[in-house]
Amino acid sequence: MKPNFYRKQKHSPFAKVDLKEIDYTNSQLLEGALTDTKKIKSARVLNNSARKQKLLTKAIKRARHAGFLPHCDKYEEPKIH
Amino acid sequence: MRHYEIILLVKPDSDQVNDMIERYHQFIKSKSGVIHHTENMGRQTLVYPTHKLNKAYFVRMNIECDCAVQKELRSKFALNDAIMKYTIIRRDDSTIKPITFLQSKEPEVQRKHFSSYSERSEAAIIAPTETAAQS
Repeated sequence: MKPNFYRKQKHSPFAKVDLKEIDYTNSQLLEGALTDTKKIKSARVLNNSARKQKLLTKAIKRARHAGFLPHCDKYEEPKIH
Repeated sequence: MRHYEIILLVKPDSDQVNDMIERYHQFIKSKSGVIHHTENMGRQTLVYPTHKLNKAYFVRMNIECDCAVQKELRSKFALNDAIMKYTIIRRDDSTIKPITFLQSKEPEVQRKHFSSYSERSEAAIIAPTETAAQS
């Protein structure tokens, strides 16, 4: 990467993560990759390589489907008739 | 034989979660499958409401079986009224990592206002923080 003379390189919480697989049940780690509106942050913001970002998105989408992470920040409360 | 990881969300009203799990165990064993690990994580509040409910039993199974057995299991989960959601993931092996979803969250580290990025410590970044609430 080009050296940034104006600002030191950002430290990413995913710098020490295995490149084989990211555990989708680790919701604490994955929540750091979501914005306030529970969207997935971009690789530029997280300072991730392309491979790492792909593993991350796969883990987040699995966790969303399995019920460990939310899809969005606001859910309607279920109406009980 | 393929390795699969299954996560089930069962309705909170049902008291027969363990019986249900045993029935699936017997089905898998009858088809010459191997069960490496099962876990009933108990009733948890859901992150988002499903089927108009806010709580569910979380069940996790690591099994080894044929593809045809997995397809039959899928149809069984779909027909079962008590199971709200099921996810089946194929794995290379049945190594188990502890689920960190259930552990109590560590106290959030308050992010101080640093003059430059270089002064940030890694620990403050790794822990989840909510800057929007503070700013």
